Amino acid sequence: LKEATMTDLWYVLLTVVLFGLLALVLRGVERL
Amino acid sequence: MSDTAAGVIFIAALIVALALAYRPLGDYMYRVVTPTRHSTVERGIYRLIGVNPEGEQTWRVYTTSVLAFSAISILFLYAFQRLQHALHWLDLGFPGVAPALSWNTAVSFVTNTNWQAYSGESTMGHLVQMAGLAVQNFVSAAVGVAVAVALVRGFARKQNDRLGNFWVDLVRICLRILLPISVIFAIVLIAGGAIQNLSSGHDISTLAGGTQHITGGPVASQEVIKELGTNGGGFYNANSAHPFENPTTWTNWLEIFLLLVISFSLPRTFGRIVGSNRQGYAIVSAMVIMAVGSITVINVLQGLHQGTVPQAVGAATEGVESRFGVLQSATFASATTLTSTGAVDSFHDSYTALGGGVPILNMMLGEVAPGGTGSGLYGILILAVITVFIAGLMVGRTPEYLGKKIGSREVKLASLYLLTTPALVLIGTGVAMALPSARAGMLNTGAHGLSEVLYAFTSAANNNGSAFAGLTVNTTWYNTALGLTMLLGRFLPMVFVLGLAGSLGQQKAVPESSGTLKTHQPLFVGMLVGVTLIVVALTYFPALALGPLAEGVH
Repeated sequence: LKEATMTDLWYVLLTVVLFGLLALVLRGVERL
Repeated sequence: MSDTAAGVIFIAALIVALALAYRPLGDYMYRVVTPTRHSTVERGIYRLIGVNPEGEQTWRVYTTSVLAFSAISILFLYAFQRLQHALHWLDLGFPGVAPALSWNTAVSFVTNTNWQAYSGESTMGHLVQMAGLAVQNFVSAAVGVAVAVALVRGFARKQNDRLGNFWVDLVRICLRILLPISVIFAIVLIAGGAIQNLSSGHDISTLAGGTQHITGGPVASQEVIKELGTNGGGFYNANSAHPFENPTTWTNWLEIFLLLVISFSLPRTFGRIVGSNRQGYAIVSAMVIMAVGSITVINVLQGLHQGTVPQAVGAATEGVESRFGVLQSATFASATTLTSTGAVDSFHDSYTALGGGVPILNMMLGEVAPGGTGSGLYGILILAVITVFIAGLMVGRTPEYLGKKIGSREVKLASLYLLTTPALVLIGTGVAMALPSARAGMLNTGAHGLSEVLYAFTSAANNNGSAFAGLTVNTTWYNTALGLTMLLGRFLPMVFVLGLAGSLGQQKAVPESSGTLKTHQPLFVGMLVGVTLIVVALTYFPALALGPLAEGVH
């Protein structure tokens, strides 16, 4: 963990945001 | 024997073998995904992950499970690559993989794409290859089959909001289908000359007097699932053109067979689940028509070997592995892009302009002939929904398919599915062409340069993974942009497919009437092929005209 960089954090965050977006799409499909 | 005769026999033998596998493998997969007793190992896994195997899921929970499993897989694989040097076991002395490349590779393998912006033998240790990448080769393929089966259950069930249990499907498909076949054919490949060891490799003296490091590794075991799961990520950078991965012409035949066999047999499973084998035959017929057409066209185009250099040497041999020759290579190229495999035994960038356009077109078709493991089946079923909708418009009746009404909600979801991939491909390519830094990665100018970028985004969005070389993609921009394209190209369509499955499953069955389109008859098969080709042609024709078509008529 000591070697983790800001870039690592960015990519982890990007993954979380993208899957969050997919979860929103899922909710959107429910209401379609 | 002439090359042409050998090529025809090679292809005919493939067709015969796939036809022979259709019923037994399709029936076996049907028994795997139909509720039966759980084995001791499976029960142990369910206990370990805290899953009740008897509890079925709604489409929403099923989709959430797919997304959660995939998100965790990406984060795990990312960390695994970044920390490979710290694990001190089978790392071959390689440092941790750079962040952008790690993320791109993690997304790539979890999405069944296996786009590789790295050379395996100089980047990944054996532990990451075996416990990271190869594991995803199994589970990402199983996720595709699980989603396809969930959609088919939606068609088959009546007034039922449950689609099965994702975790049960995942475990069963891995343990009962992918693993046993992989073990058997890994032994066959080893017998054929593929290597299987944990060696770090050997330094050898070359004939020219230099030294070269030849990396060893667990190649055969990864080679089978690479093809069987339509993954495509090679242990070596040269992929299936490398003699350690694909030693002989018969292993080349076997690899093509493996990458086609599950996807071509799944329509049988589909027919069994919906209770009509004729529906399965109709779907597989449409797949066969498009596949045979594509393989014929690419072989003809490569055989014509148009262009100055091919004409001078008498064959389009650039980028072709001499052990396999032009016809076997062209057949592999078509098969790998008709599915979502992306493995290569020759270099598509070196193909004739129009011959190289065929793999691009195959991917743009949505990889439905027969497509990726699972993704091919759900892709063509979405096209079947669109086909019955268009047929319904023609005769002025409410369309129905397999006893389910195709209403507004179903058509919206099918349309969203069909629009997602082209949007990702065309927007991604457009942005890349607009950015000077992205254009700097192109090693060719003009129409061929555009084809290389178009190929990259088409491959990523359709989760294929093959590439036109000649594009420098191991940059932060391409690693991130193609990673985004792969991720959204995999999971957005899955959300729409599972939404459609949930919607269909809750409907009651509509009794067949005189106005019902017979979806097991040749007319429907022809319409399905026509709709597939027309939808693709209208969507991508301008981009193809600027790339391979412009180069081909130059």
